[in-house]
Amino acid sequence: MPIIIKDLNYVYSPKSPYEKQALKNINLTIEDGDYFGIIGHTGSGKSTLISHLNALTRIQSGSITVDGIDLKPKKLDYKKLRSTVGMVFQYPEYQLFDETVEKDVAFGPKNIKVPEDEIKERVKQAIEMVGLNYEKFKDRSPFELSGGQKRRVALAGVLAMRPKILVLDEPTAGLDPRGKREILELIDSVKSRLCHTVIMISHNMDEIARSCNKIGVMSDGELKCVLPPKELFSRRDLLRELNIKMPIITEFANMLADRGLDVDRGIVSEDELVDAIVKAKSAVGGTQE
Amino acid sequence: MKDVSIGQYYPANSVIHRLDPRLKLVLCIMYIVMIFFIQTFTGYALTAVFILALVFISRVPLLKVLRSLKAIIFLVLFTVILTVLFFRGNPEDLLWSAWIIRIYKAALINAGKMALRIILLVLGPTVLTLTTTPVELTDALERLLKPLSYIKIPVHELAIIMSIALRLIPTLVEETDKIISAQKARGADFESGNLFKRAKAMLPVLIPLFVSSFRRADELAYAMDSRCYRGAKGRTRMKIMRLTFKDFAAFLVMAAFFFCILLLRYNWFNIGFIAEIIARGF
Repeated sequence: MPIIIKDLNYVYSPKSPYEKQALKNINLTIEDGDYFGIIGHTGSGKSTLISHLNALTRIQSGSITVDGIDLKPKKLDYKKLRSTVGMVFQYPEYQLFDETVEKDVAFGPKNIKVPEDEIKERVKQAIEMVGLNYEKFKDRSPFELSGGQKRRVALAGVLAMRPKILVLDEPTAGLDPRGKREILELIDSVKSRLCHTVIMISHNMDEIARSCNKIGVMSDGELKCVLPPKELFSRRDLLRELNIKMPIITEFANMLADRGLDVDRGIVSEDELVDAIVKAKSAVGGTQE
Repeated sequence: MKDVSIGQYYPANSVIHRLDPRLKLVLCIMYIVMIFFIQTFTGYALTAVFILALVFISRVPLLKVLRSLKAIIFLVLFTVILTVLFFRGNPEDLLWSAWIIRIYKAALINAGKMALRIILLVLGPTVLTLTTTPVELTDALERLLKPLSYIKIPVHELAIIMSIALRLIPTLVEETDKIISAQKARGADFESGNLFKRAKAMLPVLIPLFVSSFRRADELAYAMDSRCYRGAKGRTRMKIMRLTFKDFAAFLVMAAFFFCILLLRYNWFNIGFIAEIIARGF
């Protein structure tokens, strides 16, 4: 079932000199199967918005329904909600704490009272899903792993709760290009195998354009627009107004178009661009012949 | 969690803010010592007027100053109640008695003085911390304690440890918040269960916090090392503290006030009668 957010407002430290409206009238529906990207500058309210989704931040005004659970009532079944919405924060490796990888990954399932024999099964599956060898890693201390491996273990810790919806806050921050690509590929495979709906915050337009089918742009607490990547990145006026950079591929396509080559300005993937260039070139070649 | 603040510095542009922090520290100590010389309500009233005048000059909202009293409200109440209940004075002074409780007039007066003493005592350092940044304070402390370094007490090192600790408090609070959120998202429950259970539930927060503190300390040490930090030896300061005219003036005002309090107390030069007059005036 979809995530439906209606008229959501949130104010930090209300009635004090530090009062700040972090969210203004957010209306948003995220459908099942969406890979939803959220972009916006620091302090635009992205993190506040997503922390509402598993009730880490409680609703002040407005309403949210996640997978049929109404988040408004004061008394909530947190365990159910938090096993439905898996939340991976920025630098999730900093939340690792247990002696072994296996125990750490089991922390989530244990908390939501998964039966003992099923936990083992889940942990094994989660560790393998993030591309680590279960037998090799299960007894190692999470603190002796490399940065990329730690992040995978932290991700496994969330996946072991088998959430339907996965929310990620800058999952690739601080990784090298290769690590970034690996994590994104990993999220792709998780999306097809376990979490049908994925929501991702990112500052990296290339990642957002590559992965998401819809992008929400936040600015100053408001949700400015929700558009598919192709449409968003082909609207130069909008990008300029919201001060958003284009993905490198799109920028390249635009430079080619400016030079007179017949390519679509909204191209967001390498393959598409190559095809478009080949097509345009052969068309040009064709007329010359 | 976000509201935790150790340094309660209130930025404003006032003479008190601009005074030399060393001097402010010394004056604050003088003020505290002075409080213990006061024995009459007249003295307390004068001191109250004095400290309120300071607050006024410092341009810190009075409410902000009074808020610091919230922390000691129980201490004051406790002291007052105990004094009133356990004071045993002249039988003719007895105001009211029931069962084993006897309340004397002298007890009430004593309790009142005690409460005033505690409140005034706290207000002094409060004004100091509201008008001086924690960094200024540690600097001042370092300078004032410098003589101790001649008897091999590592004053500079202690001061830098203190300023680093102060600097890291907000960072750690923020980090704690983040880790708590992350573990909550993994279904951790910090709110229910008995004390023992709750303490155990904090483990997944404390361990990452320790780990990251060590990492931070390591990184900071490298960063200081790579900028050739070698401790106190040969180290100069960017901001050199200099006493100016206003500092001397402030010192004179404080000294004069202290002197007045002493006059009231010991009746020097037989001018204690002034105190009498003032007292009657009240």
